[in-house]
Amino acid sequence: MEVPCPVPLSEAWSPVGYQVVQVSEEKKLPVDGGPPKVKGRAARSPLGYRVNVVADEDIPLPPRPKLQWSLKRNPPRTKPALIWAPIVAGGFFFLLPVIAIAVAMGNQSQPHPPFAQGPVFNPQPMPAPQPPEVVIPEALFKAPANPPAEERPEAPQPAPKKDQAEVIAKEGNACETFGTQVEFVRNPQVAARMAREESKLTFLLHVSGNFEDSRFT
Amino acid sequence: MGALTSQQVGAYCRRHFVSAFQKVATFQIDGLQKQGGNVASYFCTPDGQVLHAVAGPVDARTFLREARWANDTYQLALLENQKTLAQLRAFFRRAHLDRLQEEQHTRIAADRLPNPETVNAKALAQLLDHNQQGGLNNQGKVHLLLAVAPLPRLEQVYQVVFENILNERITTKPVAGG
Repeated sequence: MEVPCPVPLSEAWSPVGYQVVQVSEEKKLPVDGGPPKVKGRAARSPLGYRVNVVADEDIPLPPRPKLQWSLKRNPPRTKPALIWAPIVAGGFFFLLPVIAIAVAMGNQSQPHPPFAQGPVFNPQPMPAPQPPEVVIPEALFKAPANPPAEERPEAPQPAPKKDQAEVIAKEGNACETFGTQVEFVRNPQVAARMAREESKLTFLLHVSGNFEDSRFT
Repeated sequence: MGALTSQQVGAYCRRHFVSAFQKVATFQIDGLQKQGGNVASYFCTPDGQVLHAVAGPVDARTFLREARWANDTYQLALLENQKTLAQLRAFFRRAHLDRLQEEQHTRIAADRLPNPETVNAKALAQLLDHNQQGGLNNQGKVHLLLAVAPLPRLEQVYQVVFENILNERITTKPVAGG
């Protein structure tokens, strides 16, 4: 297939850089079976020229530049020991005076004297609350066992047993509450007799006023 | 007396005590105002010895606590076979001294106290007069009185309680006014 060249050329030219050797336009019978066949891939021209491989040279190519954004991490150019050794040494020498001051203050046994001697404040401990003081009068140690009859208060004396029995027989053991929850017997004598019989204690209420009338108690 | 209207107080008193009341003082009615008047409670043996007392009106809880203490201490004394009067007096003297120390922070050595047989009402009145400003409240004065004179007969102490603790005048006069 013939491709017309767009510009007049003085010699044969290939747009893809092949060296074009024009032999002739005559039809030349192949000698000994034609041009030597190329084994493997046959050289071809995209424009339709016939390509004859005259030599198979290995042209060395320049090495490809490596990509800068490669994920592969490059090993450090300098050793870590060379970086950290000065840092550690500098830190040690920086902390050395601090440690020395702390040790000196810890071993210091006596405190520094104060700059100004102020008045020493020694608060006295709070006195413990004093318990109430009880006074025992001497009269208690000298008092006769049985005071004279005229000094005795007018205490309600129990009635003679005969009268008491009559009262009990007459009134029975009736109890009244007088508006409370406590049952009261008629008098302390009856209460004492009943308590003795029932092995109980007596509860005696001394009031001012009339206990039977709530207005008077 | 508000404490006696409590059902708990009523039930406890019915179970452990035989109760009676007695008028020992009076008060005056001036218009609608009552002047004077007070109350004192005594927990006694059937023989008339005062085990414990409550001076003045108290609430039901306080009354119940004191009534229980009197009964429980008496039963404990019987349990420890303290049956004679002297033994009971020594037992209750220690009990009152203990409460005086615990509740009133007042400590009295038992050996500084007089023989209970030798005390009388006049001397007990002097005892309370000397300790009016001592910081004891009414119940503390009761404990002091019954520690000095444990298990007195009621006629020995009722006047002292009413006049020297409650500051009420004992009288047989009827209620006046109204």
